[in-house]
Amino acid sequence: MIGATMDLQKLLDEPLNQLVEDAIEKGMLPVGYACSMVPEVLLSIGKLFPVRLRAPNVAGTEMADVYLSSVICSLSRSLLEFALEGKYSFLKGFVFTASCDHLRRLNDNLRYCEKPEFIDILDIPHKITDEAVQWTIDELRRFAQQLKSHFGVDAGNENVMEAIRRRNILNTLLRRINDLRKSQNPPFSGTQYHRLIMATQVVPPDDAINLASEFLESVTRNAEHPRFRARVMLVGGNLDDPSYTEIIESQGALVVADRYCTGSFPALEPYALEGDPYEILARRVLTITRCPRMMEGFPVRLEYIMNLYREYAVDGIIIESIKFCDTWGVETSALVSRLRERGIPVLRLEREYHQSGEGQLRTRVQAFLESMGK
Amino acid sequence: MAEITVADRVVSGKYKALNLLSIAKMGIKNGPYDMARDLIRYPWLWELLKVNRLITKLTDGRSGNYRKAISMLIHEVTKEVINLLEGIYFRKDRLVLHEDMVPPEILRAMGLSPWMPEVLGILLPMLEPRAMEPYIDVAENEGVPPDVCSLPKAVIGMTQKNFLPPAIAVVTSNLPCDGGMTSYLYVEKKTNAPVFRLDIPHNFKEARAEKYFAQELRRMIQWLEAHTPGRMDWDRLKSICEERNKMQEYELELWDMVSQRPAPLSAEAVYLAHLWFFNVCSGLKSATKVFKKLVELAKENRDKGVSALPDEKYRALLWNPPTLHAMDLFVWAEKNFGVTCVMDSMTFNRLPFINTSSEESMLIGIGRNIMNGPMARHTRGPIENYFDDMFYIIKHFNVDMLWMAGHIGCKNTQALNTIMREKCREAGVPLLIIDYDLSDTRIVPREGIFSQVEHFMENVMGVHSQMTA
Amino acid sequence: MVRYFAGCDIGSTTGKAVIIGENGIAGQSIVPREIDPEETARVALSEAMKTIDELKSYKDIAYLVGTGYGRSEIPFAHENISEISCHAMGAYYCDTSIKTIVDIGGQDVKGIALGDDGSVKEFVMNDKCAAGTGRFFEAMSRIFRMELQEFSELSLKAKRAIPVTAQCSVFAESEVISLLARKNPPEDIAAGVQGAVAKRCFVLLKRVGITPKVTITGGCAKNRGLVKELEKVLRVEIAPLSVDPQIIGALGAAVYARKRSSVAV
Repeated sequence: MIGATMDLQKLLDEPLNQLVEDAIEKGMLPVGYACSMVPEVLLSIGKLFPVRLRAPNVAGTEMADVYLSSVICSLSRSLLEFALEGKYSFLKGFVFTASCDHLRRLNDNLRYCEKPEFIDILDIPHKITDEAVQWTIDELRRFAQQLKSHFGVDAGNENVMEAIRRRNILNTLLRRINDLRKSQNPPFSGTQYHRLIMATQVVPPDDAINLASEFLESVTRNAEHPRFRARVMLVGGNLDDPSYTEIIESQGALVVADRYCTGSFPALEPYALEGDPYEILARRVLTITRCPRMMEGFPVRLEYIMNLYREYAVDGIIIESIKFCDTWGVETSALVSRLRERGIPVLRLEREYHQSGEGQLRTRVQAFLESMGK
Repeated sequence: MAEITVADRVVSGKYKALNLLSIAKMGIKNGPYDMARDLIRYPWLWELLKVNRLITKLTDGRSGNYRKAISMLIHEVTKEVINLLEGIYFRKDRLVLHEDMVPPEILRAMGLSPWMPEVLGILLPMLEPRAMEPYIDVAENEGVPPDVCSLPKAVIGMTQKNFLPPAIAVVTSNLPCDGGMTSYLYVEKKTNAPVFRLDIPHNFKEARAEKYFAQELRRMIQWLEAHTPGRMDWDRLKSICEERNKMQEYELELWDMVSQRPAPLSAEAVYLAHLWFFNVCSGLKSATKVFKKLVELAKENRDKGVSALPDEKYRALLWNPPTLHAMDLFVWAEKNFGVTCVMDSMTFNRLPFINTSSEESMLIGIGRNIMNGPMARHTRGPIENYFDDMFYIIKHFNVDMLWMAGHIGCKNTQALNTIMREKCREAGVPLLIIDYDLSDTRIVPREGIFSQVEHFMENVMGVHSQMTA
Repeated sequence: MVRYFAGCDIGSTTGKAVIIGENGIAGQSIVPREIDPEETARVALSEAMKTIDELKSYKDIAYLVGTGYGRSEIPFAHENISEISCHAMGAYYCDTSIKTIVDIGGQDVKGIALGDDGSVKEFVMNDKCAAGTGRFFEAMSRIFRMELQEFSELSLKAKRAIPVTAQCSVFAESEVISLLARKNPPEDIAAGVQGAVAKRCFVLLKRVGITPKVTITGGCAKNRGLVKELEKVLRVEIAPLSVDPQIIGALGAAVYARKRSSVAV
């Protein structure tokens, strides 16, 4: 067992974890965000630090359902439930993107119910053209202006570049850790990795770097080499609960690669360091998440999955989507058919944001492994 | 309830005869062999033959100019549908599929034949309430989640069944909702035609969004020129825009009269006219004529002191698309409770005329219309877009109650129901939220819709039905 | 002779009676429910009359209004009025600025929005399921082997409430039992139970609107832990009433009795 692992889980049990509490005590200002399209770098300047919005162990969403109705995805509902329960009261603000209908309406309802002092929604285009990049640059600069007038944060080019450099330190570490998953016998499980990557999203940037380097050190020194029946890749949208990976792995699958919004891909690719930092951020926002809400990106998204499939020597792909998600709902059926056309074993899973139906999940994964002859 | 005279019956009979004549002409023009082949190839054509039933349904209990307006309107829609079908028959090499949030004006100006797949999803349930259900099932069997809006699901189902005409190109957009946006992934794969996608910003009311979208439209034009034989004719676009402006002038005049109590024309005469002619046929001379006629009929009524309903008791604002598979909702509500629909969210807008002074100004104007298109102007952008219009209409049109057609597949609006409830309570506006699905009677049948209305009228408004349904 | 008016609220677990004279409440009682609602009413009324020397028999009461689920089973009542109207009137009688009531009775939960004259503007009721009702709390305190009062006090000591689902009382019971078995601090679980009920009230009240002043009536109003959670979840102060919150229904009925009697005369 890797020493840091238990501590990582502790950081994930409550939105207000120990490291966030410590940072607040030092006068730092946590800002909550949902969606990987939010440029966390802009929230890592001055006293600000980003905290990915999660609702760990949410027990039902009765109050949120009153506002969002039960046809909105359970991620949005769970986040609103936590907000209504006052679990985000430590946050100094909220940032969303107009990425999908569900998050947009979460933003609207949160604004209406909670009236936060600072709440912003970034308007990000659905395609990548020169005009779209320019639009995004303008939008990020507008947002930076908001940060300045509300928090007094100077998000001038130099400070942004500095934050990007610091983010690259984390990305480099995560990349090295991820590379270890390519080996025949990876030195850690997908669950351990999932805990790490989630933890880096809910603590201040410097703590995230520490966590990642401790993890790297610990797995190099003390490799565990979990036993497994098959190497799988996990694909989907927002998946912030490592216990989901844990259940999958309990059946002998080893998650060696991932492509979900809270997983490796926002972290792995290093930021460019040349040019206008706002343009760097804008291009990244538009290209990095590979969200199905980007209208022309299906071939690119498919190819990206294919590349990971080859690079990490994956045996089968598990695609999970949260119920009621329109973009992932349609994308998933398209992906499943295209991947199967190429002879790749695929398991499609629909899930709720909060862990439910553990038994069914185990059965499905086990049957999937058996169907691959593993 | 209005008394139906012999003259009234003659009026609706005349338009029914005209419908049959138009359909027969289409058959002759297309030739019996091709017609028979198309009836096999596109089985939904059979449903269109039921158009006269719609006249019967929507003129029940309605008399005078109100009856005339509705009969005339349905006939004019029939003629335009036939015109569109001619694109499928005779201009195959110029047929472009376009989603409902893509301006057909530009396609027409480029000499292309537009065909909007959603048209069938809107039209067919009006004629045959259960028409879309088989297609919805096909889409769900294909793996489309059941919770996705039934309109895009129906489009996906029709695509999978190969019931969409073969097009040379497809143009779509990210409006009006994520379900609508993603459904074109299926259309793309099945039609195998090149696809262009228009991007509309979230904060579409800002000037920079108008500029951004105008650039998108320009790119679309260039793309169409590269992928189709269509060529942009700016003069033609100018006359199309001018024609649309004329139609809009008439519409404003009509609304002005409708805002008065009692309304000289209402319900379908207002909303069906807008739904069809502004979204499908805008810029056509024939469309403008329809509005001119509607204004004349309304004026005549007003001057004579005649109202659409002999006894207008309540004026409702309908929010969301009309209940397509229960099109006679207001026919029934008028008879039973004296409630008529004077305005709806799909119709009302505060758009300026298109400035036709330059290419850019036209693109800005057309773009603005699309970004503020039906549904999209409320479902996209911040909630102010939703509620500002709502309370403006309530005041401006002298509305007594709000009827929300709570289409279960519309996540955008479902997620605002509680805020709406609280705002209506605060404003003292009685609110009815009808639970149903836009195109699937299996979720809530017509009778289920009516009984919700009945319950609301009896318990909230304290009135009892004037007759049994 | 002073004229007395009475209200008798026959609930699912208790019977309540209130008698008002010229100077407000002259007598009141809460008695356990008998099998026969009529008998419950008799006992409750006799109890309430004990403090009023002038009243020898309930026949001396000028006007009697019955309410509660057993309201139609009181043959000697002059009329019966629904407990929704009575709760509204009772709360209004205590404090005319009350606009919203959450009433948690033995077997149902109600949300009531009041008009300016104590009439009912809108109401919503959850009577199909025991979760969140007095019965639910009884079952919960049984699991903790405590009296209701103790359970309530326990929940106030919580450091960090453990979320409990409480969608259904049967499942909630098994959920709580397993949480206790896993050695979670009982006070944190108790607070979780209170929180779950408060959330149900939130859902219900949102349908009628939460306009201050808000008060709580019914037996569960005495559960301080619940009131605290409700204040947290609803984000409003819950105004305590000047009389025992459990007799509000009966009080409202008595107020109606006085009104009706003047109409009848």
